[in-house]
Amino acid sequence: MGLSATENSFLKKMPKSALLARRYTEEHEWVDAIDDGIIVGITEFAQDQLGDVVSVELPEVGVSYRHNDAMAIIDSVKTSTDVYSPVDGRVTHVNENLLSQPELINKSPYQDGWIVKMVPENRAQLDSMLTQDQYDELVGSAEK
Amino acid sequence: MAVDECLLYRYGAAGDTVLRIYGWSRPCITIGYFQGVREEVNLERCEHSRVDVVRRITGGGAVFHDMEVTYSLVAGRFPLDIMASYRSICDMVVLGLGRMGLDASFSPLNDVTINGKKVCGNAQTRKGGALLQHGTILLDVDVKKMFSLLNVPTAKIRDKAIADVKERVAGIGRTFEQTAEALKGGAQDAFGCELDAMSLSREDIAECRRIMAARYSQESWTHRR
Repeated sequence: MGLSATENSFLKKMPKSALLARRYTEEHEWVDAIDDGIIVGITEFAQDQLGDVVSVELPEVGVSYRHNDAMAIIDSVKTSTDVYSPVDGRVTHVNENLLSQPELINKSPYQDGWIVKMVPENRAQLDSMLTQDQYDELVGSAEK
Repeated sequence: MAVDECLLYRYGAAGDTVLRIYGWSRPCITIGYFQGVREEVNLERCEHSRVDVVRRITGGGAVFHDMEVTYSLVAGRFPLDIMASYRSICDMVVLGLGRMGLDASFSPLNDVTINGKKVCGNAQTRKGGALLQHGTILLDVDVKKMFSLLNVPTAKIRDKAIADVKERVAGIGRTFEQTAEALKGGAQDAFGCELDAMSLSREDIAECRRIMAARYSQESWTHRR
């Protein structure tokens, strides 16, 4: 997930603060900047809460979502839960490996278990997401 | 199903908690959101027996709804910990059954048992920042009928499955009215609250109709997998 900012108009426009480090949502999703947009998954804490993931329903490539729209569904042995769009943006790729190997979300939530790649429309939304410290605090208070 | 979804988005997502207790005008099978209907259900036999089949938005397995009290609980505030949320809501059932003199206990992940036999099963989904839990309390069980409508690979397995379920599942032997009333009491005991009776507003009913037309009355919804 290297940053080739000079080659990409989206990244040129991105505020540095939104690009340098992984960001998080209060819905326990993570967002990394990648060459042509962002990549989204659920956090270690979220996968641990869900337990064994048994099915994943992915959005269609090309569909646009507003911030907080439900765009995917994860079904685990305990519950099913929506995955929300962390930004206004368009889905450019989905992780089709999850259809045959949903357990990737458990085994590798930050790498092989990614869910979608998107091109965001609104850069300010990325900047307002939780930082690592803020997310750690959120998880810390949830675990108390 | 449409009413439950309406309650989830119109009340749960707004931070309210709503308990709905209901029954079925005739027997029905619901399948979990991710299940394949043809894999789970003998559709021809259901049609012949006038048993409706519908896909839920909650996860979990296929359920034959017949002699039972069904409930849905939506909540805008709930424990993030999934096990804790099941425990909290199942406590309502445990305490409700206790009001009828039944010694029930929560059996993780999502069952309530009496003398080791399952009398209540539950399934959850979390959407729109809210939680919906579907649950059933069995009043009586006709395992043979259930397995005539659900798909089991072979006759040999069916006999074993029937025997297994008879061993593991039981009805509570109370009436619908007794159980519904006890469940309301159980909710007050478990959540330390008074219940306010509510009716669906005109807007709620319109939304239920919209959801039903868009989803649950569409064959494509139940047959999507």
